[in-house]
Amino acid sequence: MVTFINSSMTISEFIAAVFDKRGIAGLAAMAKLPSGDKAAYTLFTDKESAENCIPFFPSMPVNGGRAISKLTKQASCSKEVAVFLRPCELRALTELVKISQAGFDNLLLISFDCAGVFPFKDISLSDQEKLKSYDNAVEKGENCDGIRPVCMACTKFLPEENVENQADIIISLIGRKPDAPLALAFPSDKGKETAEALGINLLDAEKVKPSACTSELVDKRENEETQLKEKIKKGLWDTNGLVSTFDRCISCHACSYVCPICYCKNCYFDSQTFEYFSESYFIRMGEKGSLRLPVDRTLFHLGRLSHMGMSCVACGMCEDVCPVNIPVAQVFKTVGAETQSLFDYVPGKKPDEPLPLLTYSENELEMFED
Amino acid sequence: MDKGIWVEGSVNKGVMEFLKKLLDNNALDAVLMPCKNKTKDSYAWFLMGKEGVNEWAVPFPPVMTTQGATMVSYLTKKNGSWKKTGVLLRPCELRAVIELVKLKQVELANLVLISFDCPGVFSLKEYLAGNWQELDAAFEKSLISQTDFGQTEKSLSRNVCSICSNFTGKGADIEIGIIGADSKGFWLIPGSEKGKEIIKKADKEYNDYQSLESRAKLIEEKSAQRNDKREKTLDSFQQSVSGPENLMNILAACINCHNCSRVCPICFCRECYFDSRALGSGADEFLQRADRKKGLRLVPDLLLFHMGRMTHMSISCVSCGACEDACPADIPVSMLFSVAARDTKQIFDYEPGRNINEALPYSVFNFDELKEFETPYTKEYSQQA
Repeated sequence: MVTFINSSMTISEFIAAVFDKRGIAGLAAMAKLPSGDKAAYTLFTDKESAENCIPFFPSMPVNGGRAISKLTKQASCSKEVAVFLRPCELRALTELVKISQAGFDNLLLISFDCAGVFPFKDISLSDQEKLKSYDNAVEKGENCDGIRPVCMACTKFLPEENVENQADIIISLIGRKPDAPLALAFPSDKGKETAEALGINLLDAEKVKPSACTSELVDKRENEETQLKEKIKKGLWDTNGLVSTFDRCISCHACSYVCPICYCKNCYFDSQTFEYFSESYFIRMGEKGSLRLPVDRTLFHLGRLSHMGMSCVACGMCEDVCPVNIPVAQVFKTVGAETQSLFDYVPGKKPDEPLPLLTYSENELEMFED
Repeated sequence: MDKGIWVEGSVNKGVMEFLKKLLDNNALDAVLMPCKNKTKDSYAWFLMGKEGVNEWAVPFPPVMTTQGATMVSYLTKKNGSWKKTGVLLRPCELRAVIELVKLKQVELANLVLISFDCPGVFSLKEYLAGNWQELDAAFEKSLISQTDFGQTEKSLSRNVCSICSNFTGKGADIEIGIIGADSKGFWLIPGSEKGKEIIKKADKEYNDYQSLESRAKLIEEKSAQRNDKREKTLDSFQQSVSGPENLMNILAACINCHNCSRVCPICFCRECYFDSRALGSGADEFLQRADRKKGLRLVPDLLLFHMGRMTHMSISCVSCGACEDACPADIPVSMLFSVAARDTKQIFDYEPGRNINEALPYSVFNFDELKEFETPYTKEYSQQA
């Protein structure tokens, strides 16, 4: 059980204190860009520049797990870097660590309650009204209008419930006023050390009572999730439904490019395997007399479902970038949950739980074999 | 070849009839052209034999879902088209095909290229968000009357389309001439010996040769208008993106997804340099970069990617707009590249897709070129020394 305490710090004071008192070498979080009206995931090395951080800004222009993979893949940091990650980003990072695409070494992982994000295209720094209604929804524990469908139906938005042992520091936001001092928890040893460095006495500090609206939001979200899955399953039913779901697809593969789990440098579906001699196009055109180009469109999605569905954390990036509005994330969330439940696997929940694709047990999947 | 064969009636029907005759008489084994997709709310490319052509084939779709040149590259890259295939391309797709031939990504043998007077297309997003029946009808109207669409309709054609000055199918084996036809029909204009032969094989009835003088005049006028509009629009756009501050403003929304390059017909590399290990580094190096710049956006090298793509492919940029259609952040990528391309093209007096025999500037070396750029640097260095 994770206990939250009332601190007296705002988020900017907290960030400054982590720099000053914990002595971190860097910090990565969503931040205001120096130009334009957008926020981006940014790495800082000094507390003055880090004043531009807005870690809870409801936009995900890149999955933080993917960003941290880029940062740590070749070599981890030699000094500590604090990283802010939404629960789905932290789960993606954990999956990436399992497949050797990122390292936890010297990272101070900070996660927080996530009320969801808007499609990144729909939210800018100057959208005061949207941001206000979002803050309002966070305070009341409601789904804000306009957040992404997968976020509305996300039941894994509380780090303390859905990521075990990874987050060093957790910030509770739902049910609290946006300008209220932070409610913090320090579940790991590293977290506790940080608390000490920040001058927080965990034994004496005032405990935060769990807010009722958080569990109400869990219930609401569970309901939304059931409905979303039913809708998607209905649409995907039989080959006809499957083909129709991906019918608009232009084979740009953007969904795979932004997917934190799809890490392959050369995707199988972009490889020479799928570059054919001209003859095969005409042979495939064959009896039917026609062949749609680019070929292997549905195969690509089926392939991706089988390659990464097991690790899909339903972060929604794929759907945000789809130029033809296919509900990619909703499909992957629905199908992913089915495969994950077959193996009783929750992607990103436990860092030491091996990927089902990497383990062999003699008795698994017998119901399909027979 | 200043004559065309007049065909009376609807250009959509007439062109489909022409293609069917070519297939029936075995002048072609297949056609590669757009069709409605299965759910009928969008378009896709289909390779179709005699038996496969159906009522959903659409020679002139109102939207560019995938760039035709990329489809031609798929079909022919490895060993050329296996069978005689007619390909229906927009002018910008045709120009991209020619660039891809130069880059050895398309093999022209066994292909018959057919192109037409293109009024532009809707943006992909706008088309998918709108009512397709209405948008299809609006497009057809402007195709037949060859007017810029959108001015009286709710929707507008894409920005790059509205300033396109290469809007005819000139350069194809067969050009479908609609400008000057006064909504009454169209001309089949042979653009090569191959095209001439093919038209003959379709039907003896294609024999009403007419002079194209008045058409040429109309094209000249429209071209001049469009060139003027293009220059003015690009001038003001260039001003709005010039300098690091303005450029970064416009690229602030970019999420570095590289989708512009994935759908670009010219960006053919299997592994893009900007996705390669060359740009990776260890975390400490990233921290150093963040330190120097007072903040490093993750994933980094966003500006470098766009600048790199500008130097790698802008000389061949045909302003087809596919990049902008596929951009999830609505950045005016195709305008940005049209501006960059305008300068690179001018420096080398090169027009992509104009002539298949015109070598890519990158593939030729002239001892005396680019002196005007070199001199200031050499001067500076020699003075320092």
